[in-house]
Amino acid sequence: MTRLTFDLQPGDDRVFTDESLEQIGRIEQGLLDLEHNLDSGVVNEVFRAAHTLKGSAATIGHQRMTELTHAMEDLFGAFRSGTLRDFKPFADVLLEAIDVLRALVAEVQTGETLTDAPESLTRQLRDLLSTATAAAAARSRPGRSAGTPRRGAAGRAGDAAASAPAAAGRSEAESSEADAPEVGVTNVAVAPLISRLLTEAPAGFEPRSLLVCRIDPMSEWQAVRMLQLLLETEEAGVLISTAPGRQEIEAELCSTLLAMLVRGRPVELEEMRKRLATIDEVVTVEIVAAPLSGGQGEALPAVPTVDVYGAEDAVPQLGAARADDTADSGPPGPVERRQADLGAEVRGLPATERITVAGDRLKAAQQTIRIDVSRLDELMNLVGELVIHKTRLQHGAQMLATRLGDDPLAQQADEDARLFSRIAGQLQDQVTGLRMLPIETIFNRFQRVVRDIATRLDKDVQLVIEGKETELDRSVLEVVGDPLGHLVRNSLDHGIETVEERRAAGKPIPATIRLTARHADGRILITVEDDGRGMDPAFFRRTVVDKGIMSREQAERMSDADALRVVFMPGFSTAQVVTDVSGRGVGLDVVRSNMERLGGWVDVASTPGQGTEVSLSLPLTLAIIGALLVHSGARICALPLTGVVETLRAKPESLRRKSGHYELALRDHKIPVEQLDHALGDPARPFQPNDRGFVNLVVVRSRGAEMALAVDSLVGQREIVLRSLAGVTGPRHGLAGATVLADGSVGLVVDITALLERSAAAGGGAPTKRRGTRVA
Amino acid sequence: MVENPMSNGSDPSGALQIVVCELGHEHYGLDVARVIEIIRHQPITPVPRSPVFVKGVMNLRGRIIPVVDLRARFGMPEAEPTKDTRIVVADGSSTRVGLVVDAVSEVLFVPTASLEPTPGVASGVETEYLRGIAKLDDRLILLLELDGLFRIEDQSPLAGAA
Repeated sequence: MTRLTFDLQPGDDRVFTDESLEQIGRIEQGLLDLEHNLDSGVVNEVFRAAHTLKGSAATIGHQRMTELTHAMEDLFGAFRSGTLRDFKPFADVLLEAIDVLRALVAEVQTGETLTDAPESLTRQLRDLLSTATAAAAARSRPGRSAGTPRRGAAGRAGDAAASAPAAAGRSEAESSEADAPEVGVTNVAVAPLISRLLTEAPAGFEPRSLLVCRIDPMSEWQAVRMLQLLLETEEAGVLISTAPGRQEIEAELCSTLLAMLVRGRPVELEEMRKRLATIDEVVTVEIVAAPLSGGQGEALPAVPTVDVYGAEDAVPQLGAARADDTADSGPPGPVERRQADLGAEVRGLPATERITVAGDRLKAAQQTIRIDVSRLDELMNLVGELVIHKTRLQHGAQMLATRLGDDPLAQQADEDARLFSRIAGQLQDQVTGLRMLPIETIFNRFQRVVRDIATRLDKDVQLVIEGKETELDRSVLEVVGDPLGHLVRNSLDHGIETVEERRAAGKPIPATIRLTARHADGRILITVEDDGRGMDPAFFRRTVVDKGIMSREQAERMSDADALRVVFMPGFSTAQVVTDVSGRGVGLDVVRSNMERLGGWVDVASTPGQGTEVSLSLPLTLAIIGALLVHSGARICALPLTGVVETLRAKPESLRRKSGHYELALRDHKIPVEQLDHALGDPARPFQPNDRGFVNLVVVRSRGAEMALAVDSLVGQREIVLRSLAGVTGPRHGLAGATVLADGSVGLVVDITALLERSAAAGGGAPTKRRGTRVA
Repeated sequence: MVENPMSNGSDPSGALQIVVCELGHEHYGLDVARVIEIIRHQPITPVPRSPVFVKGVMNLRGRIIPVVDLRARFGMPEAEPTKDTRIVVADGSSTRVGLVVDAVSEVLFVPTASLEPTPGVASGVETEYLRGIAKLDDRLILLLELDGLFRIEDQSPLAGAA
């Protein structure tokens, strides 16, 4: 296989890939929206995204990608102009194009041809477009003038051009406008500006030239682009004056054309032109030798146009694509359309609003930078170190203050430590915030999954998403996608009935899968809910017995809720019979183990015939956590605060021994008691009462189960940086990791969920509200 | 001898630089290229359910590394840390570990010529953990094979095996 080569600097492939995937994702989301509602804002967005993709593909010389995105852009363009109004027939092929685009982007990384589909897809899109536009044109021909009230004078040419195949039925004026050569159109629009500029401009400054810049009419910040052009030129010290003037631009009294009178001969200005042409959304920059003064627009010579859209220095592929545009009598190329749109969009909007919006947008655009994730992680690690030392410094300052009392030096140290820790805390919040992303990024991909799978299974399903703005740490986000995908697929595959079944059962069509995310108790709670056939506890009881996982007595003893939870048991999930009969249980143990690795848990609830709800609970971040530090055995252990309910002191004699395990009567119920170090695996030892004869207890809770951990003494609450013990001592059940303490020694971070489960599995000392899902 | 046991990390001129550690009355050598640093004894946090020779974990400037007690590893009686006790921080193939030794005496160049392959059994230490034996002025230095030594998922202490 021949290796593909692209016109990219080493390292730029990442940038290309990232940006392209972002645009592709945008189009995909847009397509899914458009399928339901042909919203003009969304059409604009997908059009723009396709356009951007085309540009970057052309820049690196990815011809197949350029052609495909070009075809997509043209198709979206037809919707944009209103020529096409029915999106549905295009949805499937466009979504297919999305997948192919992803493969094309991947080619840039791999250097190998990954897909042979783009050529045929491009053809298919082109065919679809011309068929549809021809049909649309045929329909609209009889009542053309009356049927297009939306069009302003300036938008007319483009709209006419957009329905180019219908040229036969057009009026004289329309066809002459549309067929006019590009440069001619340019000058028509430019002429008044230039003549105004030459009339108003101060005399002198010879020799002088004119720079005529055209800004993408689709740009949402045209005025700001103009200001950029103006400032750039001004900075070079060659600017004499502009039309529209600076104040007009700032007031948004401008369109997409900017004429600048500059000092210097055209040849000298070539560098300047090139530089201006690199400004985003600047379509063309032309140099015109200006008459000395009072020149008229019509006297202007025809000037060469440089399209900087895709690639400035005529990447051959793009050149070819452009040639197609002008030669093609079929769908309109981007050039005509852009010009046609001059004015229409701009004039329609209030000036003051636009400048504000445009300004903000540009600011936002310029103030956003891409950072490699590994650098963020490194930053997070450093902040983690800082947090440790913050605690250490505070500790030292306090000791100093205690020892030296009112000594000003100690006071100063204490104050400084406080200030330092406040700043460090803010820094920590900021950096943690940097890593937070809305769960939307994950949720949105399921729109497509649901659509595709439902179509394949011949089911009618709508996906409802709630709380998509809920933010969570990147570390969590990265790992939650696969388990969620698993659950959604499971619902689609097994939970949701076919249309006939639902109709027979009198259930609403379409069926609903609801994805929700919200914050609860310092954790994030994600639920996947369907209104499908639900799960039957009796079936699960039977199956575990049949499979020899549990005895009949054990199975009978389980509550209905616990019976459903067996779907998360290893061993159980591979049961083929389950998928066939009850329709649940494929790989759910994988979901569960993934969740647990993250300090999360998964639970299920279901009503037969009405649906199933699977909920995932996850920590907000996996990096820095609040913890209660305790002495236990020869070490300090950290209990994450999310699992700590309260601390108690009890007389040793109040801990009753019952069938080999200790128990504590706590208000209205009894909870098991265990020495923390013993629970973690150290040999058992007697309770260690403090000097007043009390045993320190920490009540912990997870997934509704509670137990009391006996510790030697309490140290206090701290923020700790969770570090993995993986690769250090191998997997240690009951330990989430380790952390470096203020004195530099290492503390062990307890995994409360795992500890409670282990305790439950151990039998007699089962936590109060036991979960019967773990089987030894 | 099929292959030179010193092929790894040895000087092309035929000398290997080693860190010499003491355990009881024995001298052990570690390839200097694998040794990161030598530090004084410091607090070690025991980890439940670890192999007996893993004393626990320690903090090496923010990095948490396991600490292996070489005495326990070789089935020698436990000893209280003294002022000579050192932790040799070394890189195994997969992880960085700390090795507790009674003392670190010197860093030596050992001529390749003075190296001998390991006999079947040497002082109760399984040969899998030895790269060879260096004879120097009537002294015997057992050269340790780090990777074999650090295989901490191996739960059994060596003493029983030997």
